[in-house]
Amino acid sequence: MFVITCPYCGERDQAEFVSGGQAHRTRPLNAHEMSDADWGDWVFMRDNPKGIFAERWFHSAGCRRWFNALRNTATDQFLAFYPMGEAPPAVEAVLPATPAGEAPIGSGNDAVKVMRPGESEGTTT
Amino acid sequence: MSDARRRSPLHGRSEISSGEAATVREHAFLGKLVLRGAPGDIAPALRELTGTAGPEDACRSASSNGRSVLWIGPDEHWLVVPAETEIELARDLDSRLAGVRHHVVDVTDYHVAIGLSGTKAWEVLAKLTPFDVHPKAFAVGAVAGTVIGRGQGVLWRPAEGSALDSDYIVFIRSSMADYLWCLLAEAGRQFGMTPETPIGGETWRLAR
Repeated sequence: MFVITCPYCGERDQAEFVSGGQAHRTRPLNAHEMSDADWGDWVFMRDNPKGIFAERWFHSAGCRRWFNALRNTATDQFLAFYPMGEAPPAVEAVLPATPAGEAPIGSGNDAVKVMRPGESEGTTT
Repeated sequence: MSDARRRSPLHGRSEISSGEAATVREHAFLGKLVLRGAPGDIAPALRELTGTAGPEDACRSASSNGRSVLWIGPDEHWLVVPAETEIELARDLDSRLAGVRHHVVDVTDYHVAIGLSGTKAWEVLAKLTPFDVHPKAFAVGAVAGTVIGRGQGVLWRPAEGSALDSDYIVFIRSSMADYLWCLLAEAGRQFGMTPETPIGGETWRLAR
C-alpha cells in the first residue's frame, strides 16, 4: 500500500484514494476533423512509461479533491504532489531503478535491454 | 417541526457499553449542514451566526456554544449544530450570504452521527480504519474524512464548545449506520462489549 500525501489533508493511506490515470491530457478541440484512428487514440490510449509518470489521484474518502502526483512506476515511489492545473514540478529520479536494469519502455524488449556486465544475450535474470 | 414519527436509522439500537473502556451511542438528529464557499468569503457570516469563523487549519474544527464548523475540504465545511436548529441556521446563512458565491445543504438525515467514548475508544476505532486515531496523532478538535470498515465516513474529535459528550464522533451515511453500529460492537468485544446482530442478519469476523 502507498502512503499518499494529499495536498490538502496530508499523508493518508492509499485506501482513501482513487487513481485517475494519466494527468495533463487535453481534449482535442478539432474532434470533428479527426480521423477515427486519431480519435480512438485519444480516447483509449495512455502512456505507460517505466519511470516518472504524472497521474491524477482523487481523495475520495477525505476532502474529495483531485490532485496530481508524479510517481516512479518502476519503484512505486511518489516524487511530488501538486494541485490540479499546475505544471509538474521538476524532480530527479534514478532510472531505471529496477534490479534487472530493463529499458524504460518495459521489460521483455530485448532489443533495447540494458545489459549488465556478465549477462549474455537471451538469458533472463 | 418535531414530528413523533421521525425515526433515526438507528432507532432500534440503544447505547452499548463496556464500562469505562468504550461506549457507543447515537447522537440522533444532530443537525448537519454542508457549506461550500471560499473560506474568506463565508467567514464573516459564520462568525455572526455560529460564533466562530471556522477552523484556520485543514482537518480541524472550531466550536462555540454547541455550534461547530468542521473543515472537510478547501472550500467545504460542515456545520454541526444541536438537533432541530439546523433549518433555521441554513435559512439564516442563505440570507446572510446573499450575493456571495456559496451553497448550503441540510444533510442532517443523510449522515448519522455515532459517538464513541472511553479509555479504549481509539483502539476500537483503530481496528476499522487505516487512519491514525491515536490521541497523539488525532488531537481534540481534529477532523478526518477516511475509510471506516467498508464505508466512508468522517471522524471527528469534538472540542469542549461543541457540547457533545463523546470523545469521537463518526459520521456515516445513513444506509450504512446499522452496519457500522454492529461493526463497532464487534470491534469492542475485546473490551467486553456485547455483539449486536445486523438488521440484515449478516455475520462477519474482524481479522484478528
